[in-house]
Amino acid sequence: MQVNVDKYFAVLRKIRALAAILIALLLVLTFVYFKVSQNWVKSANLKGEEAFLKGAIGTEVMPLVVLDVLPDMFPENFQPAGVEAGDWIDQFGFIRDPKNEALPVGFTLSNRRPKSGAPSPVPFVALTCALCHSTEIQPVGTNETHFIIGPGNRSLNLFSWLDAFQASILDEEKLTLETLEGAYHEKHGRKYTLSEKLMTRLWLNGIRKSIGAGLPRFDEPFGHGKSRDPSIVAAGPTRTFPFRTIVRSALNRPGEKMAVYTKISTIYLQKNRRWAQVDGSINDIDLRSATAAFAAGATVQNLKIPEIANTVKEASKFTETLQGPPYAKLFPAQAALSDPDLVERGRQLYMTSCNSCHGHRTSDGLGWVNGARHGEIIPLEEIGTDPERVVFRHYERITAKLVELFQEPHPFPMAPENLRAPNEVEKRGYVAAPIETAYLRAPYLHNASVMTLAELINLQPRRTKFYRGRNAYDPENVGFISPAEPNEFVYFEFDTSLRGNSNKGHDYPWSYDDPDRDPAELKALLAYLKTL
Amino acid sequence: MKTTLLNRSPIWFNCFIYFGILLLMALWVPELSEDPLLGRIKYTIFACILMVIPAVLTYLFRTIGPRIAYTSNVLWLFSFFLFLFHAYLTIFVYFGGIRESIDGQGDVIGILNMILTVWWILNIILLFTVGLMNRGIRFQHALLMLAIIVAFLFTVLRRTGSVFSFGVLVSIVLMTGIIVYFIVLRKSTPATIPRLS
Repeated sequence: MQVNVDKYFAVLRKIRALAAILIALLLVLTFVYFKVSQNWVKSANLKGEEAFLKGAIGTEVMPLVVLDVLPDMFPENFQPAGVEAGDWIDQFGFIRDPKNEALPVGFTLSNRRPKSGAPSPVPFVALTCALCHSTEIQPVGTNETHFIIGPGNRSLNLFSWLDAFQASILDEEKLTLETLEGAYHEKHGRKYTLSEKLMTRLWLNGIRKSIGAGLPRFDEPFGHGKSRDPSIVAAGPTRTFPFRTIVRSALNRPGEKMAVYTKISTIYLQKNRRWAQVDGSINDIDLRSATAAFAAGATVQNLKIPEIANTVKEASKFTETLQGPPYAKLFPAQAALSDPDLVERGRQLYMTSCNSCHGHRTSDGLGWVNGARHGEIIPLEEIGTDPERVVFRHYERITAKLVELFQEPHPFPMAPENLRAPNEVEKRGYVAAPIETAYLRAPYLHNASVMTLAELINLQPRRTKFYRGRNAYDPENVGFISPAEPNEFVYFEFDTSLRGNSNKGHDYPWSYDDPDRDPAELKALLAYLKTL
Repeated sequence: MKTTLLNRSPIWFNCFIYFGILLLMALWVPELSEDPLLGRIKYTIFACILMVIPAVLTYLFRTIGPRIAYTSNVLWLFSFFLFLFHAYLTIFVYFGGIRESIDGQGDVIGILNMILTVWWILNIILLFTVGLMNRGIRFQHALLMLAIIVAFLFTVLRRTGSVFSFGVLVSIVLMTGIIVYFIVLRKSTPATIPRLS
């Protein structure tokens, strides 16, 4: 009996020794894994324009091997106008990158996982600043397009694309690791690697859980050809719901009833601005960019990662001095017809009616002089434009929440002195800001509700309904042309009578029905505005 | 001397296995979470506490014999290692430096955490060199255990959900141990407490 007990203990000792060895081995492997995983992220250290165009800003969306096949698997979601109307890049207004067939402008690759920024052995597709803040200009009657960095993308319908994307993700029958792998195999003749399988499974489980958790608050995405319908996703091209995203992610509130459609801003010469955002709520360019990245899906955590923080700061720095091409460079024929006397008359009217808020270009054409009211919030009562952007529920709470979330030593600490959001509705409004390269800022007003400068200055009546998408550019009236009827590329009906879409207000120098309104002077003003 | 008869290696093996399992879980469980770094910081302190509890309980019952007393010390040492992981991730990876860590946690909490870290380091050195024979050293050892438990419970019992439940569980286990100690063992003769080295 004694012998048996000894044997029993001897076996136990062996098991214990083996367990200790195994654990030691696992610990060593764990540390090797952590060391190796650090090398998955290639430190890009991007600067200037490259950071703006190619830098990931914490907005990783999905593994590349998923994006490669997902739109093919869900044509009903990603090709709402039908397969013959082009691929998802065409139909949601992304800009095709001539140097990269698979990914449009503003998509880049990153070996980081969404949200956490943890290293990934396989590349994820991430969004860059250029996705929203670069555009194509296609002069009317031509097939030529000019790619320009800085203006809000004229055709990008990002939130509709997100609706299509989320609808695809939630289709648990059609979208599994196996079906993804099958589609990839069919397209490329190979199956996913082990790393691709692991990361895809991890990502799919995570994003499905995340979207699923929001369904009781936000309801289901539509997809199935409806994503571009204004009654489904009301933002449309060139606009986003930035504050709905922030209300959801920072305040954990639905934000469903907010009609806060905001034009993707033009980001020229940011050094000239004391207060950024259309409501003048942020006075630091890096914080402005971090907030934009946060609204686009970056997290408080991943914005702390030095490489991501550096990219955001470098891209911001790039916009400090970024300038658009002069009107004469893009439209030399039209510029040649310009009458200097007319331009001078327009300048005089501008200086009396517009300069105090917007400032003016210096006579050498190189600098910009800010107006006396620069940085001031022009109250809603005075400016008269659509109020939704500054009166939505939780407006003032967002500032406090951002201060709470982004605290020192975060690389983007939101100090109260960098932010302002008046509690009193009567003090809210839109900031007086410079309008360098005004001709590239179409469509106009903060909600993109006015298609041309000619309409904005009330030289022409403002259209109450028009269509948005890949609109051609009208150099004469300075802005976009709308077809009489929608087509597959210009499809989004913009109805200015709807909440959040008002094209009223900003009636300078005169409102359209003002008896003093002088069309000849307004023509002169338009001629001058082209030179800005 | 009882201590010379003590077979120390099984104690080290057992404690190492427990330590290894806790550390592996603390490092890997958050790998799939939204913020793995923050997860590791949280899980390493939970792992540390899961090691501290048996260390404290065995310390309370050290009078039973040198094996229990020695086990307490080894568990305590491994708790310290887990705490070092937690401190490293917090101070150098999450905050990016000692000064930044103090700033980030707020002066009071940051400095208290630093004091606790330095104290624990000195305590481990004493365990290896002097042991717990000296009454004053035993007092500071017990005080440090108390400080760590209070600091932990102060943090988790203000939270909600599973973290709060974990804090309640820790409190119940410790209170039970303390009650048993007072009822059964307080007046028994202390056994010799061997040094770690």
